[in-house]
Amino acid sequence: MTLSLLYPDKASAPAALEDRRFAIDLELDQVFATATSGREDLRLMDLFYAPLRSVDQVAYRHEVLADLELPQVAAAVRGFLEQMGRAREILSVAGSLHTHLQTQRLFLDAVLTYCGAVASLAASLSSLQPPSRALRAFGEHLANYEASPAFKDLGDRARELVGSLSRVRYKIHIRGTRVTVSAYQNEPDYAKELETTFAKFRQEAPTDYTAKLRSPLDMNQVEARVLESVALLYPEPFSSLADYFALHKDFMDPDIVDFERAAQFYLAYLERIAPLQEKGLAFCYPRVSLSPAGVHVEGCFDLALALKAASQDGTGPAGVVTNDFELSAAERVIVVTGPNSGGKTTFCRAAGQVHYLASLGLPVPARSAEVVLADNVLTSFVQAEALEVARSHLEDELFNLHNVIGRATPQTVVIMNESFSSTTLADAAVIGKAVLAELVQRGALGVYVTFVEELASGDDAVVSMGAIVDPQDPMRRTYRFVRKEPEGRAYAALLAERYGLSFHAVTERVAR
Amino acid sequence: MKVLLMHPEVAFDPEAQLPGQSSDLVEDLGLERLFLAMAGNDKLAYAVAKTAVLCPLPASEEITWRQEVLADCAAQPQLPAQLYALAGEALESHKKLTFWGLSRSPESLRYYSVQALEVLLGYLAKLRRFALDHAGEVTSGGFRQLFSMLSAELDEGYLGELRAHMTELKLARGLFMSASLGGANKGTAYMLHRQPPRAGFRQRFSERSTPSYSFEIPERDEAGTHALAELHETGVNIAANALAQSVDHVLGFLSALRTELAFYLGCLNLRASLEAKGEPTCVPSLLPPGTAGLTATGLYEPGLSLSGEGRVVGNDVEAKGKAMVVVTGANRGGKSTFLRSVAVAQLMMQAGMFVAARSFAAAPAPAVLTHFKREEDRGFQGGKFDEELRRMSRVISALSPGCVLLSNEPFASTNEREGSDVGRQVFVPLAGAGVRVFLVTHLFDLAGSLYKMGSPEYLFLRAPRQSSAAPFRLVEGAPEATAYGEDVYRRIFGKDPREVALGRLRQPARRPSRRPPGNIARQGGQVDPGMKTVL
Repeated sequence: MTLSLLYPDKASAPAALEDRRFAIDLELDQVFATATSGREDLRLMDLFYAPLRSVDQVAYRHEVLADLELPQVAAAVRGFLEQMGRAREILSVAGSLHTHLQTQRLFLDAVLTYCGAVASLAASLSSLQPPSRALRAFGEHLANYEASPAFKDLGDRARELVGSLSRVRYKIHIRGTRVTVSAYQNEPDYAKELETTFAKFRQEAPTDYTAKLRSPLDMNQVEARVLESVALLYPEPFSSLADYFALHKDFMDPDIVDFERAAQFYLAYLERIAPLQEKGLAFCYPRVSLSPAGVHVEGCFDLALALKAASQDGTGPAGVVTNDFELSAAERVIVVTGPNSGGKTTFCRAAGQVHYLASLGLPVPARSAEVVLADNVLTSFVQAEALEVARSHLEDELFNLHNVIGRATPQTVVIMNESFSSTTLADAAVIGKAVLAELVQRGALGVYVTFVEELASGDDAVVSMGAIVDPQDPMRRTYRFVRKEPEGRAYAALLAERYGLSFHAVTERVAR
Repeated sequence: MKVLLMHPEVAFDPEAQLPGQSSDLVEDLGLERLFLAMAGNDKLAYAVAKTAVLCPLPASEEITWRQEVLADCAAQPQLPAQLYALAGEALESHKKLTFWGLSRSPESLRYYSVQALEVLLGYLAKLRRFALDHAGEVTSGGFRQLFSMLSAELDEGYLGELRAHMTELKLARGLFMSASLGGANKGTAYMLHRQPPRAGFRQRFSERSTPSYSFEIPERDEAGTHALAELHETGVNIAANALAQSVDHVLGFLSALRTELAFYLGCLNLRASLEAKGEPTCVPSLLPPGTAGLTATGLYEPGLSLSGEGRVVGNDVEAKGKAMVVVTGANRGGKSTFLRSVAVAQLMMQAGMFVAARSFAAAPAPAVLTHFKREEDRGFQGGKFDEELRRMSRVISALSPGCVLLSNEPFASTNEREGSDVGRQVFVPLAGAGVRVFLVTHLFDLAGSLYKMGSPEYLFLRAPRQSSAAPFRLVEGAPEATAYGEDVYRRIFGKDPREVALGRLRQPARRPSRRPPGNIARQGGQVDPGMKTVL
């Protein structure tokens, strides 16, 4: 069956990536981890690391997501997932019980819950008729499955067994240490007899004196032995139960399990971003195309940072900075320069996130986005480290860069955040120029954060972006970037000026 | 099994909600003394007396039912006393057994409930014996039905049944219960069953016995023993609950019996106290419903009598069919006392009790309401008069035709003109609508104008001066303009007010000479120079 909620053709499902370091640099690993927490048994994480390969695959997912935006569809799917979850929970509890007589009975509950989930989803899908290819196809499949004799039999048999077991009634006689179990023979309810006998004295409604006794699902050993005796007394329903259990141990249809997993994937992400959307931050479905193509993104922001901020102090959209950037088909690399702690890293992360999330077919953190369907989003990030390890660091950096560039194709997006703090400026300039040239030659798309300002010029394929400066207060960080020539030195000069450390100021001060 | 001594159909509830005007009645009529005289120290008897008096029975048949039971009690006072004591003993015996508060386990509840029931069974047998022994001595519907019910319901067969249950619930042969399969096949819907009949010797071997499976829990198996105890407890829980409820039911019945008997014992107490002082009591006659007024001889206030030594004055009243009775006259002439005696008699009659009089006849009223002068009518909004009007309005909301209204010095919180105007507007229509009005007033304008209306439905009584030959005894008579304030003046000032007034005329006149000499200072009122007195 090629049916899948995730891919138009299951056969062409992409494999999960093995190298997931880029996600750590882009801080998407935390986003995915929180999204999937509580749903570990479904192995959703692999889906977050399996980017799509074709424009149609992306469109397929957008259709599903659009359907999930419809409240009734979302409610039906959520209800289905809840019931499936309950069925799994029951199975888990059943597995933990000591006697198979109990396990098998609970198994019936799990089966009936599953059947209920299937039935209500089938009914919802057939009445709501959601437009996406995926849900239409699945709706049909589900209707066929529900009507199939195998499924009907599964449910009917289970109901029969529940009925016949519930009709079993047995007697227990406890005397001293001896327990005797026998068949119930319609003996009358003695408590009722007592009630009738004393009814004549009754002046008002009686108080309830029954003590609340603990009653967990688990049986104690005496109850278990009683149950065994009951099974011997009434062999029929119990042996049928055992047969049923053996026959239907793996009762969940694999396509439905797949659907469950896929639905959880979508909903996990949607629920993760919902609080931000409620705060007014815009997400959109990006238009993806294959390179060479232009890129045009407006209002994008760092998703991981926004989620962190929202969970800590509930900042509104005012606290999240958005940025725009674009590249024509001919332009390939954006070189970003600017003062320290000015938001350069955040900016390049956002650029990387937009591309990677677009390749998963998910809504991206931007107001509007036209991006490239990247075959890979690769990163080379370096944090300012302690100087002691500086020397070996350069080797590591270059090793990593070499690896990244080696894998880069015209469909690749490369995000680099180099510091080269471990070497001299002259070296850094030389190395940086070379890296940039290699990148441009390979035709990959890139965002390159650097303090080597010379890199920002000299090639039509390279675009320079820098931080917006507030003329009133040049020292203030705006965290916003536009196309402009680098002016790092100007900051240094202003910084010096502020502390009375400009050339002119120092001269004056010493002269005094 | 309902006790039904207090009413042919309905059980008596001493905790019933009292009508809204009850606290007013208690205060205005001094009913506390009455309740205490009936109950003494007994808290139950007090509650019963209070509720019975303050919730008057509206229908003649209901009142008659109680009068007949009371007659039986009066003829054989040891009857209710012994029965009351028996029920009390049974209830006491149970209290001594209730220490299962210490351990609320089902097993201890079961154990103590069985014991309690055994004791109560003994008392039930005694009750039956009592009923059989005394059935021929009673004539009232209440006692006849109580005794026949006790002998019919608690017959030997039934008591034998109860004894069988006691034995059964000792669980001598173990616990028998049944269950169904619930969630995860755990036992559910547990039911308790009787011990099956012992199989005869031949039966055990000849009949195919039903299949069964048994197992033993070895004594050294701690976990197993504990598990067995848990299962056992499930069954005992059911037994204990059923038993405890049964005990409660029996106690409830005994309690109800005691409650209703307490009322009659209270009545007998009250009568004994009054008779000890030589005061008369009588069984009142019930006039047809809707009849206004009353007829009485020797009507007195029982609370007043009990609060002092010697007897108090009684009044003879022929006011049958009178919509309104207006009482005027001397200060401290017994007017308020008279008013109270009427109210208390009406309430006692409608509680099914005897009445404090030589004879008394009246119709039952839907309610008895009072509107007495209040010292605390301190106006929070407006003034004393405002507050009084508010109170009067509340009273009127509770009135319906046939109700008895007793009003003592209404509208004294304002001047005579205003008070009389309002009074006319209130009492004339009330009487016309069928409310049975009893009015004590010093407002001569009001009383006089009512008198002038000449209605055959109004009766006017006068309290004599203290100096008269028969003080406190009201006589029929028109309202008099004077309120005998002269007496009061004389007493306090030690002079004759007329002489003093004449003496003052020799001085320059400051008042219009039109004013006749000896214009009297009224009780609490002001001398109004411009007012004409109507005689």
